[in-house]
Amino acid sequence: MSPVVNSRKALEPTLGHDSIEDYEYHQQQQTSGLSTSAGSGASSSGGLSGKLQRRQSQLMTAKASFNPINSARTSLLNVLSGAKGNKKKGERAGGANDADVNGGRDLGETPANQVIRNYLMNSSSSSSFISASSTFSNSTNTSRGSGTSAMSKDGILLTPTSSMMASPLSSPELHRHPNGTHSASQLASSLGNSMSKPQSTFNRFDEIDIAPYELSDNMISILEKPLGKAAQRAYALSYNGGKANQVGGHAQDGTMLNVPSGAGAGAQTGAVMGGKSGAKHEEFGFCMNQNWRYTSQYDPKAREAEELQPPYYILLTTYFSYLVMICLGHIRDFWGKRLYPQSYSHLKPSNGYAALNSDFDSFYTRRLKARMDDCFSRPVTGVAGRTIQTFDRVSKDFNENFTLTGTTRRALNISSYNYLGFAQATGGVADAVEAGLKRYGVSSGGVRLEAGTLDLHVQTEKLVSQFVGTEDAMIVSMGFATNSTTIPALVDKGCLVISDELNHASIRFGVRLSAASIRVFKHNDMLALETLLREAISQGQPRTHRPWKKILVIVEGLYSMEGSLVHLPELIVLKEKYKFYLYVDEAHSIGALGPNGRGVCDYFGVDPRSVDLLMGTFTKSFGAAGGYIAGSKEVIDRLRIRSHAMAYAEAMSPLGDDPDRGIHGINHGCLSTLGIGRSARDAPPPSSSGLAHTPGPAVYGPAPASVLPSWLHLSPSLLNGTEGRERLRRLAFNSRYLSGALRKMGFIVYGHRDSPIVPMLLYNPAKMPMFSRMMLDRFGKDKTPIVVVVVAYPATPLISSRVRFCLSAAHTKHDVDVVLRACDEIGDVLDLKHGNKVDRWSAEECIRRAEEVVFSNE
Amino acid sequence: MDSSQDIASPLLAVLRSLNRTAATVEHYFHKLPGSPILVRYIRSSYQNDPWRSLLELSLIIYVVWTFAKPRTRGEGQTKYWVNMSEKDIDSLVEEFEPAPLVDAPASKTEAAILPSVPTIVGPASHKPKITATGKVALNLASPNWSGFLDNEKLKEVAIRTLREYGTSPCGPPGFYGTLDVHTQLENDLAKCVGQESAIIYAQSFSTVSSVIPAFSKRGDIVVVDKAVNFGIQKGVQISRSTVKWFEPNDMEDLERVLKGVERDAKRKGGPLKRRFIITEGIFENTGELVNLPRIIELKKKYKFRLLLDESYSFGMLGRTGRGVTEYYNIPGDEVDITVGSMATGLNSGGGFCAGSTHVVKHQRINGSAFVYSAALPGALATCGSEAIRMLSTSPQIRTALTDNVKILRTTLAKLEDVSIYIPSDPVSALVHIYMKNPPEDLELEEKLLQDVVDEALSQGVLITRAARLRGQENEMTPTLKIMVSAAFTKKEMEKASSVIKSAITKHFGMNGRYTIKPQGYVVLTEAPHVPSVETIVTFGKLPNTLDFESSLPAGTVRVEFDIKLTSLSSSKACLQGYESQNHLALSPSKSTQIFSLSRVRSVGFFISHPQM
Repeated sequence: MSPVVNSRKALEPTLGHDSIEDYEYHQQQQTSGLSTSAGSGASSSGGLSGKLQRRQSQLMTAKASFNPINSARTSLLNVLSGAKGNKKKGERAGGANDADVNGGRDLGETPANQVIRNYLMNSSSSSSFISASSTFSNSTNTSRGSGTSAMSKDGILLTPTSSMMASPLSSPELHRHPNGTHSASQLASSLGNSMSKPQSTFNRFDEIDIAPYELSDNMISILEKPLGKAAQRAYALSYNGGKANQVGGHAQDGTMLNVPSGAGAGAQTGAVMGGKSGAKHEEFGFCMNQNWRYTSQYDPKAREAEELQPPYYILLTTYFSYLVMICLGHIRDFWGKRLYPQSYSHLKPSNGYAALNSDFDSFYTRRLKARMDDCFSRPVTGVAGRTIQTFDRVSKDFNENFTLTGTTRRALNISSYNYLGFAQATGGVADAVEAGLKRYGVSSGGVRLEAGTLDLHVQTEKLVSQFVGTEDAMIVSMGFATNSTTIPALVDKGCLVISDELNHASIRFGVRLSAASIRVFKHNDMLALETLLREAISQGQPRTHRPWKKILVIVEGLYSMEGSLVHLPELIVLKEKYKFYLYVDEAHSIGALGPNGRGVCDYFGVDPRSVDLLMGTFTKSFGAAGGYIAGSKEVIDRLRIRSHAMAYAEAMSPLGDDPDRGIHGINHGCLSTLGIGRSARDAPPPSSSGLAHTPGPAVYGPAPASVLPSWLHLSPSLLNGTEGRERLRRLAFNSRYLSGALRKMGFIVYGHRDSPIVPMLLYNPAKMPMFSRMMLDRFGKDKTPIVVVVVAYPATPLISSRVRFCLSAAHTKHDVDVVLRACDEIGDVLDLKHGNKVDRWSAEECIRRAEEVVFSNE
Repeated sequence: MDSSQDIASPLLAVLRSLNRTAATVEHYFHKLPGSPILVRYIRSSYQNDPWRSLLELSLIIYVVWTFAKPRTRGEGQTKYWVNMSEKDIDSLVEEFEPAPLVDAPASKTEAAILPSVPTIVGPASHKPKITATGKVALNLASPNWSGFLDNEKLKEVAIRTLREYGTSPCGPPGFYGTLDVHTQLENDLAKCVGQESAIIYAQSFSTVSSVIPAFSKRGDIVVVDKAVNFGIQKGVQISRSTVKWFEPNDMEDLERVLKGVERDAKRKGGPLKRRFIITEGIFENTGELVNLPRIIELKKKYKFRLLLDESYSFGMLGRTGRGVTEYYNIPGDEVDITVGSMATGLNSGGGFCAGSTHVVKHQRINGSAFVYSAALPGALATCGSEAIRMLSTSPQIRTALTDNVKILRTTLAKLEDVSIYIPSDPVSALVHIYMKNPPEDLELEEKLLQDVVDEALSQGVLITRAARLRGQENEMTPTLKIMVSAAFTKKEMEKASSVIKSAITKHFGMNGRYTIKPQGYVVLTEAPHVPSVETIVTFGKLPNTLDFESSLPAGTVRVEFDIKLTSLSSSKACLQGYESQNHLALSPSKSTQIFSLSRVRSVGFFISHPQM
């Protein structure tokens, strides 16, 4: 069973779509294969058999690891496969030394021409390893022993060499072969050689399916808890590009290796990835290329992207489509009510009861939205990370009811608000959450003002205020409720709330409860706001002309449907002049914008203390639950007594609260970007007073380690902020890349270039479900399913239906490439390219010139 | 000579361009489909009746004006508009002095709220460690009916889910936030409360205030119990429906209101309106139990829909903790909309709403806290499911809870109607304690209650004063809030009950019993037990019209003491007249003293022992 043959076999395009649907099955199959292939990788370092060495070319990547580990794993896998009754696997994994098996490549099912699918499947196979190993913990433990000892003895572990890590985008020709038949052996040899030769192909870790997966497999095996700390360290070291002897040396003194020559920027990432945070690839993509990073920061020179208008025929057909659908809907209602009265019983008065729902109010839902209900609320399972597993479902009654078919598919997830990719089931954050759960359980028992205040809440509040840069903060168990219960505590009759027209429903809910007057201004239009302010102050309250008690301006940092950023510096100027209070809802921007991830203030270099109230949620970037509101101590203390949530709502669950995520989750996110006890090198120069309009972090010093509970153990990369910054920079790159490339390709895209939310306009209502379904079913060559969010009226104006992409640090450039190709194909079919007409780029060109797209400040 | 030469040349150019424009417009106008018809119409109508053309023109102008003017009231220039120059506006802006963003605490009691909130170190459980005392206390302040608060099984389930589903679904349910475990929990809940279907919200508090406006709109009628919880009050407020209140749990008053609504509807006619009765299973504010059978009878009679908030009763009442319907043995679907909480009854997190398929489906797009909020973390969902399973399989939890409630109620029974009043139903694990004779002054009453709480905590029992948002809700009398848990052993519960009893006794004045004599003087008949540094022993409410003894000057009161004040020689005893806030020194040597108290409505004995 020659490896070459195997790999060829693997590359044969045999599989159809169902391979992903049979995902679970493959996982089981691949598990053994992959891990043993990692064993073959050991040839370069550990005790290799000559037989293995011959297969150097088969190594694919720098996935070198240790034979002992692999053998241990192999035996573990034997157990597993035995348990699963997978005979084939059992045979294969027969002996500890039997590293012949050519891992994941040996799967006849693997479609060669569907690179990404490979990618996803492979990466998920690693997950199965994890789950499997946790299930069979006994065997894992056994294997752990041998693995660890071997590791520390050899101390080598080899993965990409330093040269690879440092590689710039030097090999564009190595991009994924369009037909996917990149010859594995060729690739492998180039990668294998790269261990000795300096020229690098490291890009391919992202570009190509094979490398990352096996690497990830390797990585996971090492980062998995079963392996001791020494192993982790060794792994991290090796990852840093150290040579075997160096690694060994440093491993002894137990410090993180400072990367020797050549590794450069990659080293940091290496350390990051090498930390406990290394996680399943399906949750968090692996990307080492330091060129694919960007710092999200306000650039006064950058030209703001203009909002393009579609041609008139698009507008006309859109209106016409709605007209047709409304007419059809009424006709169906008319006949339906006569022919099937029982289906309309809840819409008609009966038996002396008024209709539960008005048929007029629900018309849109029933007759328009119902047509595309299959695109909403798709049931999913597992982690909403870089990929997500959706259940397939069918409807036999026009989307009235859905039945699950029982199959699932793993799709690229470009829809969740997982900006920093912290929603993970593995890695440092998840470990901390687990520790927190073990300690605190899931519930905090009651209302904050009664007996629901845990020390964890207090710690989280401290941490949050530290993170946001304010004096104090308070946390609430739900993001929506943070707005809806706080605003009534701030304003009442005789106060004026001035709100952006596109503010979130929770803000409107809160204002309505407060009895304050409300005026809205045109979205993000500072001139309109100023006019309104002048009018409000000069005219006073209606009729009486009494001056307003106070004026509260509520805006969002980043608008979730538009991707637009608030013009904060201008608002601050207006605030000084008109003496209003400013409330910024940073639900989407916190953790996603700014060089330090502290939201719009950080992004614009504005002192967070110049904003009266900063509200944010933990559900998005921090992957936890709940929300916070931060401001001066005086204000927050008052809110603690007056806010509805503090007196009546359940306190945040330790799970949602995070002083460390979840009281765990959140914290973690904060922490990692915050950088607790950050080393002096990384810490920004402390500046005593962060002045508005001075760029750069003003008040974001490192948090004292005392903010963290003592039981919480975080990996150094999470603690010192390296990981957080790395994620922020990846997110910024992805965001700019996708929005820039889509614009270049001729799509109409709204929003700010740095926004991780990228809305792409579709206009015609029928294009929404089509776009969503085509992305999921993936028409076109590459069949990676992608889940997208389509939004229409009432969340947007009737005419501008759109698809909303939410990028994440968990995505790699490759993932964005996939999205771009998909949009390109579908965009042509659905006639979506109505934007930029001159100098339009093809998808491939965008992909090739990604850095150009990202770094140009047009 | 051409006429063109008579015209000045610059004008000529203008005329020419006008001519050209007119020609172009005419050209394109003729190209428009239907334009000849329009021309012919205008021409003939003008010929027949020139006034008609004028009328038509003014109609068109009116239509354009209507569309162009601002739609919303309050925007643009109304008749109250004052015209001002830019300079005036600038100076007004200059002079604008907004009030501070938050007002200062209104009173000392309010300022004392935050420092008095206990902080728990480590996990919340039935026996948590409190920061203030550094000791473990019996927790009767957390809703923990079944003792799931620190349940190891739930932790295990949560961790398992965490490892599979990550920390958060990171999105609203509509956008890939609907996990299979959510659906599972919804099914479990629906089955549990006996409804067709259920929907889960990410926070229990926001559930009901989102459910109500999803169904009840402007013009609809809601009949609401006066004592309902804050969430319902806010939900009703935001729905903008017509609200009719009825007396707390008073079925006769409810019927009166329902009859009134029916009468009104008959009188006014018009289309049928949606009508809801909104009430709670166990009232969060009082611990009373709803008279469900009667309400169901009434709702059917008057054709109302019933929204029942079981946030506190779910997980507490019934053989397997399924709430009031199980307790009364009424099928769950007799209630149209059931709202409940996983955070209180199941000690997980989030809230739910159950009802018919239509009720639930409607909320999936109209429940604002559902649509616009991120989904519940997967781990909380699985914990919810697990807790439901544990509830239904372990009826012994219920027995333990009932027994513990009984212990508390029997212990307190001796105080009832003497110094305290308990409206809570005997079966309710949520017990509210009112002062029997509260001082008129709310602040003082709250301070007294807080004293009891502090006293109990110092004895190792954590209870709480019900947190209120005065001014933002229906006024509620201050109460002590006690939540019994099945997790306590009989011994612990007995200890807790007696601690509570003695704390109440001490501060509400069981020992120092007083009487108010008709003449308006207060006689302290029993010696108060004075252990702590500052203790308010007791109070009496003076009659509105004091029938003063003629020998006393107007506005004074005579106080007689039976206590031997000589023993207090080194301390200060005083009689307090509230409203005047004066502490009046009491001479230790005399047992009867006369004080002048301006505008006094209540008096209390405030005895402080500096050395103790």
